[in-house]
Amino acid sequence: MEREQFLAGLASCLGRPPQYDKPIREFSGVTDRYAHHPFGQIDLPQTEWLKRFVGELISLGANALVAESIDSVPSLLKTIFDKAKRGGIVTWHRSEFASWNIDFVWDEYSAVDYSEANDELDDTALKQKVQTATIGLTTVNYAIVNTGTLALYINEFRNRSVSLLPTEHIALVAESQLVARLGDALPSGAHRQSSSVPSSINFISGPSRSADIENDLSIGVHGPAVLTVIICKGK
Amino acid sequence: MKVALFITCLVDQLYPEVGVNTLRLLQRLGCEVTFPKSQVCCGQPAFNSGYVDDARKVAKNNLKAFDGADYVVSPSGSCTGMVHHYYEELFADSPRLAADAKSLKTRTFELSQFIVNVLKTNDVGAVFPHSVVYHPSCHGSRLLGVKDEPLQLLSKVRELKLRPLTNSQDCCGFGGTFAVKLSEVSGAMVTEKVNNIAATEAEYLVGTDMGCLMNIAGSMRRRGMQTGVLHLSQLLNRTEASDRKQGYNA
Amino acid sequence: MNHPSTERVSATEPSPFATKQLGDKIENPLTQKSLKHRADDALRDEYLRAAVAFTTDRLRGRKADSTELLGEWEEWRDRGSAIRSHTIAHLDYYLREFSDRAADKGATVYFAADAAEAQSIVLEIAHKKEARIVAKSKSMVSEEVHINHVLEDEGITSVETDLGEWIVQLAHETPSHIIIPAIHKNRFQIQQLFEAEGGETLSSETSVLAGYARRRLRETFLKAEIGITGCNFAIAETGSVVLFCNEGNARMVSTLPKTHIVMMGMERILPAWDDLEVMANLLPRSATGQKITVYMTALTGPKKKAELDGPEELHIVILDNGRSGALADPEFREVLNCIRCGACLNVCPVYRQVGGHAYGSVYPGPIGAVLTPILQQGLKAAGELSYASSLCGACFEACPVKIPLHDMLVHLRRKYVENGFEPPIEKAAFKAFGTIFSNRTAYEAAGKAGRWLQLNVLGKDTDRSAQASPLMKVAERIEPLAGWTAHRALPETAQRSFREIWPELLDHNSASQSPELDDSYGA
Repeated sequence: MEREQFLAGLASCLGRPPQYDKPIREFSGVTDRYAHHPFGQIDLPQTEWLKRFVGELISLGANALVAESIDSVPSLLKTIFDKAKRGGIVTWHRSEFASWNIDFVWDEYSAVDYSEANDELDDTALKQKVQTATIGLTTVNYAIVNTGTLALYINEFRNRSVSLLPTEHIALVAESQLVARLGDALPSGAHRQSSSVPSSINFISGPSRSADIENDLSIGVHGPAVLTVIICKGK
Repeated sequence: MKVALFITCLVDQLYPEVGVNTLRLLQRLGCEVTFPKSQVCCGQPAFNSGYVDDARKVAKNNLKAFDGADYVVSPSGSCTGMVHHYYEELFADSPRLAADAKSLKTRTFELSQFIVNVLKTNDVGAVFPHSVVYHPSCHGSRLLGVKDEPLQLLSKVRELKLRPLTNSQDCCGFGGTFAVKLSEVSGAMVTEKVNNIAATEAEYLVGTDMGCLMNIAGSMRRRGMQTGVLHLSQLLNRTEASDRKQGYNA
Repeated sequence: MNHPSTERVSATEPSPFATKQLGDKIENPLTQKSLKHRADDALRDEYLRAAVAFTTDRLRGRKADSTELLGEWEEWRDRGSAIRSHTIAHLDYYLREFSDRAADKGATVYFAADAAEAQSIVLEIAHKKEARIVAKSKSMVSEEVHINHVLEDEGITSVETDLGEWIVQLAHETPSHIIIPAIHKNRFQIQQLFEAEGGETLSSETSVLAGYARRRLRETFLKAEIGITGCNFAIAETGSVVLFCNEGNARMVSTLPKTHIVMMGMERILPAWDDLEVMANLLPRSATGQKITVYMTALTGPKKKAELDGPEELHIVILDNGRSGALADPEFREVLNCIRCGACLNVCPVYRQVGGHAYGSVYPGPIGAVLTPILQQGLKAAGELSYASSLCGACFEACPVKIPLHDMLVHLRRKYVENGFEPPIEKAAFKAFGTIFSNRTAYEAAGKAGRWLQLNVLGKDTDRSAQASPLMKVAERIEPLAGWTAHRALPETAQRSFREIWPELLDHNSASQSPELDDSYGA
C-alpha cells in the first residue's frame, strides 16, 4: 500500500487528521533519577567503575583481564594467542590500534586486517580469513559499566564480522572509555542529525548463549564462544 | 463508626457463618453494623462472563442498596474488587449512576483493608495456636491491591505460626464460571495449589475470599486432607485458644 | 529436571500440534478443535507440563531478582508505558519520520496492509535476487504471515536460525512460547530431529546438539542470499532498526547475506534513541531476567560503501495485518504497547498448565488471547481464547508496560457475547441470573428453593459418595456441576442463609443458640 494511504488510515483510526508536526513530549528516555543514579541506591564513584565493570563481565561469562599499564597489554595478548587453536587472527584495521602499541600482533602473529583498506588481500580472501579465524580482535567505542556491555561503532575500518565469526572475540578497552549506563554510549545528538549514524552499532554483553535445549545453558551458539576483554588502566 | 455489611451472595447462601464472624469482628472493634436487606449481589459472575447487561441490572440493585452508607465492608476481596474496578465502567453511560458508582467505590472496603486502613488497627486480640498458611485471592490482591493487610493482621494473632506457601500468588483456579467452563484446566490449577498447601503441612488454610476457599476446600476434601479451612474473619474472631478443630474440613 | 524415557513419540511422527507438513495447505488449529479440547490434550502431556512449569518458574524468578536489583521497577513500568502510549498515539507521525530517515540512509521501506501484501513484497524481493536460500532469525511477525510456508511453496528454502525456532521448524510445529519456542521438546526429540535433518549420528548432550546447530547453521548464514529478521524496536529519529538477540544469529542474518529484509509490526517503534535505553532495561529483565541481551544491534541503512560486511540492500516491510483494528478501539489500543517480552506467559496460571499450543495461535498466553482475535482470526474463531483465563490479573501485574490484559479479556468476552457466539443455554442462564439477582424477593425465594432441593431431594452427601441420593448422583455428573465435581467436592449447603439469621444476630445474647454461629461444621 502507498505510504500516505497507509498512514492516513492510521490517523483515521486515531480519530484525527494525519499529523505532520513533531509531537510535543514532556519527557523522553530514562527518568532523571536513574540518569543520576545509574548504579541504584549507591553512588559508585568513578574510581570504582573498573572493578564493577570487571564484575559484570565475569557474571556474563566473559574473561576480564586488567592491564596495569599499556606495557602489560602485549604479554596478555600473547598468552591468549599462544593458548588458542590454530586458525588465525583477524583484526579491525591496524590504524584503530595505533595508541595500543601492539604491532607484533600483525608482525609476529600474522594477524590480518579485516578491512577494504587492506591492500594485500582481496575481499574474497579476506572473507575466507574471517570465516576460519579463531580470534577476532577489536577496540571499542564505549564500555558500559552497569551492565558489562561493549559498544562497537562500525565503519569501513571497523567491520562487523571480526566480533562475530571467530570463536573468540578479544576487545581492548581503555579505562577512559568506561561510561556508567547505556544512555552514555548511544549516538549523541549531533550524530543523529547528520548522516554519520553508523550502519551498525553492536552492543555486546558476554559470549553468545542459548537456553533452548531443555533450559540447559549453551555458550557459543552462533556468535563467539569466548569473549575476552582487556581493560588498560590509566589509558 | 457506622458500617453497612456487604455480605455477598456466596457468603449469604453458602457460608453464613463467615457473615456472622465478620459482623461480630466489626462489632468487637467498635463498629455499629447494619445490613441493608435489599442487597443481593455485585453482579460479577455475569460481568466476568461477558453478560454486561445482566450484570448491570444486578449491580444497579447493589448500588441502590448501599446508597447513603458511610462505610460498606465486605468479607470478599473479589466482590469489593468488582465494585472498585468495574462499576464506573459498567455505568459509564449514565452520569448519575456513574457518580454513584464512584462514590460507592470510595466507601467500600474489603474486611482486612477496612480494619487496617480505616480502623487503623492490626491487632484484633486474636489467639490461634496453630500452623497456618495464607492464600491471597487474585482479585483481592491485584484488582483491589490488598496485599499487606491480611498479613499484618495475621502477624498479630498470638501463637499463630504462619508458614510460607510456594507460589502463593498463583491463582487457585476458581475464576467463577472458569471453574466449570474450563474445568480440566481449573482442576489442574487447584491440584497444584493444594499440592503446595499440603507440602507446608499446615493445620489450617486461611483466606479472604470464600470463592477461593470453596474451591480449595473442595479439592482438599476430595483428596481426604484434614487441613482446616477458615475465612480470615473466622480466624480473627478466635479470642481464646481452643483445641477443637474448626472451620471447613473439620 | 527428570528426563522421560527415550520411548517417547518419535520426533518424525507428526505432533498433534503440527500445523503443516511441507506442501500442505496451512490448517488453522483454532478451528480444528475447540479450546477445551486443545487444553485437555495439553493436560495429558506430562512432559510439556513439567517443562513449562520448570521454565516459567525459572524465568519469573529471574525477572523478580533482576527487577529488584534494578530498583524502582514501578517507575520503570510507568515510564515504559508512557513512552509506548505516546508513540502509538502519534503512530502515523513516527512511521513517516522513520521511513523518511531510513530511506535517506539507503533502505527501501514498504507498507503492507495485510499478510498477503507482506508475502508478495518478500517474494518479489526474493525473485529479484534469485534467492535459493533465506536465513531467518526470530520474528513473530514473519510467523504471523507464514512467510516460511510461502517461500517454501516457491521452492525457496527458508531456514530458522534461532536454535529453538530451528527445532520447531524441523518438527513442523509452531513455537509454544514467545521467548523459548521449543520449551515443549526434550533433548531426545531434538537429537532425532537433528539426526534426521543432516543424516549424522549425534548424542543428546547439550554441547553436542548446540555444536551441531552452530556448524550446520553457519553454512546457511554463509550461503543464504537473503536474511530476514524481525524488528524489536525501530527508531524514528534516524530510521534505525534495533535487534535484541542472545545467540548471535540476528547479527549473522543481518551481516552475511547480501540482502536483508526486516519484517516489522507497525507498532514496534520508538521516537528516539533515548527511549531505547528504557526498553533495553525493561525487555531483557522481563523476558529472562538478564540485564541486557548478549547482543543488541542497531542497524541504520544497508552497509556503507567501503564496509566489508553488511547487506548491500536493506528492505523494511512495515505490517498492519489487523493492528489498526486495535488502534481504532480505545478499549484495545494499549495492546499495541506490547514489547513481546513473554512475561505474561511466565506468570499465567493457565499457560502454566497447558503450554502455548493449546492457544492455537502464533501468539500464546495472555497476550495471545487478546491479540489473536483482534489481529488475525476475528472474534468468532478466536474469541473463545478470552475464556482461557481465570481473570487473575497476574499478566497485568507482570507486564513491563502495564497493559491491562485482564481488562481486555473481560471486554473481549463482552464482545463475544454481544455477537451471539455463546451457547443459548448460557445466555438464558445469565438472563435468569440478572432477573433473580437484581431483586431481593426473587433471590430469597430462589435461595430457599435451592436449599430445600439440596437438603430434601438431592441429599447432604455431596462428594460422590456411595450414600448419595440417586438424584444427586445424576446431578453431579451433568454440566455445569460435572465440571466442578470432576475435581472437587461440592460445598455443603447451609441450613439457613445469613439474611435469615440476621434478626437473631441483632440480639447479642442469642449468639450461643444458632448453629451457624459455632463454625465447626464442614464445607
